[in-house]
Amino acid sequence: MLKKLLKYEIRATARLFLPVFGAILLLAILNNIFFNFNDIPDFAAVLTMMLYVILIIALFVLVYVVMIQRFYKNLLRDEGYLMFTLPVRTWQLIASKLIVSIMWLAICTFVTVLSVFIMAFSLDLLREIPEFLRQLSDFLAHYVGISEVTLFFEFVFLMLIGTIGSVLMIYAAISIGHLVGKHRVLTAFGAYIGLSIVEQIITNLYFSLVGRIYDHTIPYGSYGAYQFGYGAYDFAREFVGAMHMIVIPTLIITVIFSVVYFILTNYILSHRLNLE
Amino acid sequence: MDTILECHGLTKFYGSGVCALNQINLNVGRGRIVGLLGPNGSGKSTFMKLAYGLLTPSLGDLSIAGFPVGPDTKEVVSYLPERTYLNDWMKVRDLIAFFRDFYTNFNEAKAYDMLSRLNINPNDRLKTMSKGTKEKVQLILVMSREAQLYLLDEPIGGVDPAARDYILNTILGNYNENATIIISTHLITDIEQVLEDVIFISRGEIIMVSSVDQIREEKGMSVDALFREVFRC
Repeated sequence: MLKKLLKYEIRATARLFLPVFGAILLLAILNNIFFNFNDIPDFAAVLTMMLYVILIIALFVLVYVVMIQRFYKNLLRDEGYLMFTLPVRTWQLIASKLIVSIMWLAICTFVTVLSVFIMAFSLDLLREIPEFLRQLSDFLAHYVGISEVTLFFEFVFLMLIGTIGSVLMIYAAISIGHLVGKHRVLTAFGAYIGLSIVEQIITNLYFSLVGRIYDHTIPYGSYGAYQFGYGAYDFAREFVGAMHMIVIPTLIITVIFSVVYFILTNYILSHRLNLE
Repeated sequence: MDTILECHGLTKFYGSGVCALNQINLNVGRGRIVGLLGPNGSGKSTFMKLAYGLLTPSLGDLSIAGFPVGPDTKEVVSYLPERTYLNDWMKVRDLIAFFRDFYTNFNEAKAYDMLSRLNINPNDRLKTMSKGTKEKVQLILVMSREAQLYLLDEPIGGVDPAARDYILNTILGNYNENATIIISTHLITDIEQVLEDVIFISRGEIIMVSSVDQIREEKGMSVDALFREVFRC
């Protein structure tokens, strides 16, 4: 059932995003042409560049507007009469909205990066690529070990979970707004601000606790056996070690917040549903 | 009597302290066509929405086919709300595919057949349709499911009288004999001919449950006449 929900959720949102993607990529190609064939930027070149920037901003506004609209309008307004009459579990409804929102955020980021590459693309750049790859592999071979690779994936994972958490916080706030009879949208805004403050306070307390634990368990000035000869290499090693110590606890608390928001949203929509 | 819907002490307060339903006890049997009749604001829609789980009861419990209202009962109940709940950018054809995908008991051929009889083009979008046509599409989608209980909330309000007859015949002709239909409406004359039982509801309380034959025999009047007498302003 989740698969089917995803299929219809993608279909309902794709018709909003695809035209914008098309326009952005088209403008990127136009910009590239103006860069490569005009020595002095003329009015048309400036205009397409401006349009491009405006569209990129609009795209990221659109992602969030669609994310909120699909949850609020499709589940809690008139269309909710259809969605909640489907023989699916509430968590599947929430998950389908969440997964598709994250998917569009990722695709929007990808399209933006791609459009920058398209604008910057030229034959000179193409010639530079083998040299760049050689230097990159050199760098990777000399300076990047298991620890750095793990750190990289920790960061990627943190970004993913952080994004999921921020979407779920919006869902939770809208659901809290649904608990009251009147002024539901206003309550949702209030709930969002309230949740942000609570999250900030808990995070601060949590990190002061983590700091204390570290103070007691790790001897000052050493995160391993790097005391011999103190060069830039060792400094980098130590820096990576310190980053692990920040990223991992951040990951843990972000996961906890996400789970709490999901459970809260699911509880309200399953047990406190009152469609207008 | 084999029961399809059963509720005990069912009560619903809205946020502002308004009591929409007060201590409702009700048993509805299988294979009946039941009219849920009452003036505006008497709690008809609230009852329907509770029976489908779109509202959470304040007190009391409600079960359908022996299960408490929830994901298990959604498969056996087909519900027509009093409002347009379909998004307007999909074509009728896409909506049929949507219903077929989610409901295992959806009969696609029946839906297309009813569409063609009511002259509705499956390639039209809801956006371009009149209010009455949208209502017809919704009713067709809901009645094309082979459910055990149909909850129809004001199903013919916006439909012209000519199509009303066809729709009522469709309701009668197209459903399984063991299924129960609960129709809420205040257009009693139009619907009286098809009803077998009636429930009169007023200000959140049930004031009478009876079969139509009983009303005719004992009181010697039509349901419409009785309704006018009971709810005289």
